[in-house]
Amino acid sequence: MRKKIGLLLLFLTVGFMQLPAKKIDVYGYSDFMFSYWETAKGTEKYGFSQNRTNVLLASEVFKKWDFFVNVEFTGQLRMQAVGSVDETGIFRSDDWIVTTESKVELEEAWTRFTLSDKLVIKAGSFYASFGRFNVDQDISPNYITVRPPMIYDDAFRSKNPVGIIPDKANLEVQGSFTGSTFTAQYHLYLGNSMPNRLYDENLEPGLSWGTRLLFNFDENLKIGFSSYFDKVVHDKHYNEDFLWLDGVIKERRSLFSLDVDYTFGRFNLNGEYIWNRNESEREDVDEFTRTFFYINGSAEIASKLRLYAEFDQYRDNFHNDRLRTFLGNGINKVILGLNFKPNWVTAIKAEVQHYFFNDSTMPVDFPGQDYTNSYTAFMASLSIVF
Amino acid sequence: MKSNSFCLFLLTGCLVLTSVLWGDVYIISNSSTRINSISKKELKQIFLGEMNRWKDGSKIKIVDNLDKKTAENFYSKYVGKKTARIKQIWIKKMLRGKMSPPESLKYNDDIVDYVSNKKHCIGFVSGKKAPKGVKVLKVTE
Repeated sequence: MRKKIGLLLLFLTVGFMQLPAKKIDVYGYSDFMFSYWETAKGTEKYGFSQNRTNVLLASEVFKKWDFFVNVEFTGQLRMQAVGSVDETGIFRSDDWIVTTESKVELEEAWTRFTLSDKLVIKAGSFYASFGRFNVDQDISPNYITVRPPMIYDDAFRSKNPVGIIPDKANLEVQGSFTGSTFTAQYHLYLGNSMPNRLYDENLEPGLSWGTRLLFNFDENLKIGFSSYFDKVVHDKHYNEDFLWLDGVIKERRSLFSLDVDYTFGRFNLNGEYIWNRNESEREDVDEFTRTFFYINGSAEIASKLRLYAEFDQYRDNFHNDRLRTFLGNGINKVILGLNFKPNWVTAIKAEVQHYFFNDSTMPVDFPGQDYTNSYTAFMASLSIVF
Repeated sequence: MKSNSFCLFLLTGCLVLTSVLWGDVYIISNSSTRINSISKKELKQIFLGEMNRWKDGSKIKIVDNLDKKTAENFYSKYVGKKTARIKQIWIKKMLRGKMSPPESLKYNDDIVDYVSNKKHCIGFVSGKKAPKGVKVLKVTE
């Protein structure tokens, strides 16, 4: 991966050296996070992380032709208390596990040709324009909460076997039309679906495509509609009798979303509903439906300080599918938090999150964690735009 | 009745005095822009990051005024939003590659100097007299 990034950066550097000298805007943002998780077994996890620093490069190469590169640097220091619960029920920590992890990733690299406001062609690698947060999924200054709504978090992205949200697109036609009271933006895009290569590295991705239409009424009311279609390819899978199926399984995935964002005075209300259906081409694999919605409300309670609350709900019908039941057929999340912006480039956020699962009889194994049917987390972050 | 008239007179006087002392807001652009006037709607679209190009296709460069009063006056009058909200909108668009980060300067002279030297640039300043060396755009409805 690092080799690929190196080669791309070399290509970009050499490429741009050949072009007439143009000013390149270099800017970005940095995230620092603290999180604390309570766990079922009496252990607790907490850690500081330099969650990410994204460096963005943008410039106009020629008239109407510009480019954008987004490189992400991440580093994490995680501490986990290890111990046991004594006879009085109090957790006694006797050791700490400290882990560090850092990586560099090329998040996006695209070029854009603007024929007019109504017709813009974008090519490269970029987040698919789906829903309200997919293009903002890691841009913390762009959302009020510490993390975006649950459905946009890592566990639900397409690169995971249970992924819902589309990952990247490669070619897009977009544009905007201005009416007397609103602006309408459209996006039509193509990309590669992400194969779930559990065992077979040679699985080829299929074609994906999607649309987004956004009506923007003076930045106070925004209504968006999104759709996305691709073919998900699995190489291993369980059927309803927990039998290991051989061969490649292809599923047609359809996604639809409706999102609304309304600002009135000191208040903001926003939400989104996402519907997903996967239909397999094989008869021995069940089709399934998943739904998700969130509602977020916030109010400016003092100068530069907002109080927010959010409810997220995910539901699926994987009653017998062991590959996918890790969320107990559904998960709910409630958040209460504060967002303080001392100036326009800094945001300090702190929130309490409570998760509870829909079906307490199902086994729950939240990625990398060991929780039971409900748990609470505390998260705080500092975001700085530079 | 008399006291009401007196209050109204006093209020008008204060407003006039404030305007005289503080001056007007002038919309200025580089001489490379092929316009002499701009509509309120276009001005709003430019400063909301929705209109990124002039009619000849060249990219619009914005320079922001860091003087609080001038900015508040300009954004409430022409964009209809508070300065803080405008900057939130900019941040969102900048980080998505939808607009370039605007240059921000505090003093009128620096802004006039910047706009006069920067092609396709637009900005705003306050003052009692119209600035020289740049185009002062007439704002139409």
